[in-house]
Amino acid sequence: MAQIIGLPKLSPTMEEGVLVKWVKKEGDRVSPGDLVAEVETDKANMDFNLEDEGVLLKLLVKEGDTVKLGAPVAILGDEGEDISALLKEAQGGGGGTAKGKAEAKPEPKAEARAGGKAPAKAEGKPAESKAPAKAEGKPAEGKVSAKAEGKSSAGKASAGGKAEPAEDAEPAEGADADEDADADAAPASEESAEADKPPARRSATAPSAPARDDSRPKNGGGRARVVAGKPGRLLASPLAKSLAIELGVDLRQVKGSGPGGRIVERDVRGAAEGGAPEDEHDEAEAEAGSSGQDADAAAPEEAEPEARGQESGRTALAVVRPGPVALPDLSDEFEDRPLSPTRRTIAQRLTQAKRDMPHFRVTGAIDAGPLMDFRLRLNQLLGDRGKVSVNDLLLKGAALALRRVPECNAAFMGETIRYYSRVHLGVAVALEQGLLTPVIRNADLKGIGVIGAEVRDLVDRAKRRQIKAHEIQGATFTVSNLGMFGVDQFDAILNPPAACILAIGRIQKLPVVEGERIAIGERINLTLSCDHRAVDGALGARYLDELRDILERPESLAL
Amino acid sequence: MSEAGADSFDLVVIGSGPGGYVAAIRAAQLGLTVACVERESLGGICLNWGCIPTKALLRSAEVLDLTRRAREFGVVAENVSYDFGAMVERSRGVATKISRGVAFLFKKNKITHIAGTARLGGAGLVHVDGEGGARTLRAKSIILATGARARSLPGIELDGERVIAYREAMTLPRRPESMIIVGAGAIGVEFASFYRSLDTQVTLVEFLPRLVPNEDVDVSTELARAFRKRGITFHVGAKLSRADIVDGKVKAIVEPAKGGGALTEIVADVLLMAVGITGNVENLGLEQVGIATRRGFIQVDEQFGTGVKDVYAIGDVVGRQALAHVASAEGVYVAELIAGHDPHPVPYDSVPACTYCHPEIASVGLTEEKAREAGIEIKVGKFPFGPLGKTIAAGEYPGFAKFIWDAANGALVGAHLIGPAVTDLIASPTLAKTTEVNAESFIHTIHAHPTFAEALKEAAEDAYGQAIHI
Repeated sequence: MAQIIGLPKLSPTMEEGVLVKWVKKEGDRVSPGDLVAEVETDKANMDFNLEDEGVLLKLLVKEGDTVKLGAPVAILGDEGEDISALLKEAQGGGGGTAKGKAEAKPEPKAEARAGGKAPAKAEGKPAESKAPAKAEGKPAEGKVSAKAEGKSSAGKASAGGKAEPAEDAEPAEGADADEDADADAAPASEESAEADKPPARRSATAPSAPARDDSRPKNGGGRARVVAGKPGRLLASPLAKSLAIELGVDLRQVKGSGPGGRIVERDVRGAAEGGAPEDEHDEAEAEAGSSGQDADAAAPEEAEPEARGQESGRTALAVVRPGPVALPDLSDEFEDRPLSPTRRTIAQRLTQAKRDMPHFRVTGAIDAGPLMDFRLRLNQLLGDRGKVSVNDLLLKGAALALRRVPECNAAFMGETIRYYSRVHLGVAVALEQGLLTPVIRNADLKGIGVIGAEVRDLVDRAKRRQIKAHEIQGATFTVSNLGMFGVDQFDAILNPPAACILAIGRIQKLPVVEGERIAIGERINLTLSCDHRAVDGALGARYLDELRDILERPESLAL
Repeated sequence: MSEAGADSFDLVVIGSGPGGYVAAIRAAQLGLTVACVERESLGGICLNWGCIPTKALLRSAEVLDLTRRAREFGVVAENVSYDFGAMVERSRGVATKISRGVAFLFKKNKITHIAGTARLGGAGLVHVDGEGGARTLRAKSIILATGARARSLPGIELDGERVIAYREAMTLPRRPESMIIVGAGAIGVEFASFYRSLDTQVTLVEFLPRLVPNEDVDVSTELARAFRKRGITFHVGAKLSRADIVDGKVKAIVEPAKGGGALTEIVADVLLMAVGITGNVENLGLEQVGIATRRGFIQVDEQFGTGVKDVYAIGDVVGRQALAHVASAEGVYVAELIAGHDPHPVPYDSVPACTYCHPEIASVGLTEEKAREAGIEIKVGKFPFGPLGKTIAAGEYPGFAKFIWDAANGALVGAHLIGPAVTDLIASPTLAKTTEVNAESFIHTIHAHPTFAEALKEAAEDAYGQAIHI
């Protein structure tokens, strides 16, 4: 019997993925465990394996398409089977990017099932409190697990990979009564759809995803957008939407704090106070409605908060009687590129880090002369058996310094400060698709050559998008080196949850004072950014001092 | 999870009312080993002496009222009378049934029910004095959910016979011919409504200037009209200055609350004191372990911590909002907190309140007066139940729905209902308020016809001048 294969959850925080490559073709026979496709998630490129066997009757998604979690990607069945009904179900929305309609059909079913379950549970029980109590608990569980990973993609919205301005649930659409009611209904149906979907489409597995994922009844409790609905739908209360228009807040930039990550009034007010969205508001006004993507521009008459204040109650009336819908943006003055999953994760994590982790920095210069000599001697020794880079030496030094100042190998965890007993060094790498931080595990225990080889292997595979999720997780300390780009010195944003990140500048030839004369010296600027909640200034300074001591007497690196 | 021994638990809950038993079950669901200590029947006041048995009595009154109006509906019921004892008996039977339900849920969730009186012993110990002798429980966490009881006025003692509280009022040996009820809050007006249906001469005395003073003033006015029509006497803005037993009757002296006015003497068979509650904080060992109380209630922080590590307090003994469903919500919150989760805070601004007098009252959010005091610019809409098809067909006339919206953004500030079925109807405004459904969304929601709920939509619309049927 043919079945629709949905996109499985391939990373713990994945909400959608880009189908990078089909490994199997239509008509190919597949067995359980076969690799059928490669999918780029928010973390890394993942293998997409099948659990069932059969013939791939239809591939529903093109390479390069962005696919929502759970959305149909293929139809699996027996050779020659009639799949017209399934095709209709799956292709209601056309290609892989617009799966909203395709989802619409299974959803009511899922809902009906969920609906049927709850009363059955309540039956036969003298007191009615049980069933509701249970139902309430689940979102809470989901939420906690989402938090435990230090991840919450609440408040994200996307255009689903392709430019689909009209599909996007803009705040402005709050001015449309239909849309609004639609959004109200969304949480319930989408949640039940998600709850019931995995069993319905579980033929696809996610082998490299952490096992704990599977045990969660609902893996998205903390997310703003549950993936089953229209692409780009925002989970936000009607009040939050109308308030967003009033205050000129872009809901896509707001993180939801309500149940299920829903954006509620306080989130919008918080964002408005934050300031940043206000700028966008001004910009939108300046552009005088040229952008259909923008909330304010889409309803230009709504954009003026003062005007609204004078004519209170206008919101409700405007919503009840919808105005003309804004045309999609046709400007040739700029290009809006959809975010890649990687870029989206970077945006979210770094915003969170910069906003929630109080950073301070300590900067110092080291004399790079001895280090350069040491490197020369090592490379002479190695001959044509390989090369040691300055970066390799710096990484080893950073790891060893953590052994001397273990308090910097830490993370602020809310109620506790976690001190790591192992040194797992994150190495920030700039790639075409964005920033990635592969992790060198137990870097303090590894030789310089091993570290160098691992870094090169990881960077190489990252460039080819073949890095595995576990290889970019679990850094206890991060090093970011922009020396090769000619940067003198810089501040790095923390890589949460780790409390410290080291930013390394280039090797500079400078006039330095040696005794009573000026000589030409070589210097490297090191800047340590610290989460002040876990690491104080004196401690950060001590780390830099120990690192300087190690690097200026580089034979320490061999110890 | 627990340390060795049958008397070690992750959580010991003291009290099994709607706060305690719900907390116990939620904690058990989350994998904790739980014991719940109860000195009386499982379910606490709510199930045994509050919400549930009074609803059973009021249902009896409702059936009686309706049967007396049978002819209106073309039904012939002659010589209609009632059996007060049977009404009380039915009410007790309902309470017993519900209490057994809690016992079943405990069993199902493997919660140890310990009958006895608990006392904190410090450092995770709870001493229980029970029928089977004394025992000491070891608990990683403790929730105090001991509830509250009726309080009286200074100088007036509850004798349980002539001067009584709600508990005696629902198990009187015979129907009183006349009754004075002091306090026109939810408990007061519910008993007034019940006993008036049984033809008792009821006199309400309320210190504040109106009936149900916590409700919107329009609701008070509507209730006063309905009560007057039903022949209930009331003195508002009045205080009880003394109550004496004279010849087996209660002689009460009532004077204006401000003082200085004329004294009124009222004589009745019983006087029901319904002026409020005080927390059950005595003999719990609170002082010994260092838990502070204020005006008879336990002081807690935002997460219901008592100031003593791993000891929490919820529900009426905390007295934030003395409502069963608030206690349950607090219980779930604390249980999840103890189990290491990160629960959403209890939404205190969206707590529905229901009063089951006839006509019924239900509300959520701020009253018009409070909203204006808070400086919120509001839009108010009202719609009576009277014109609705469902109402006319059902023969239920009085009451209205009133919606208060924030004029600036359409947020629901409050909803106030009085009339038929409103204690159930309040669910949708509560959902709207909790989930921030604003005016436009509420108005856009189709309400089935013919239903009482149509009044909600029309009231919501009326605030924007859009009501159709008025």
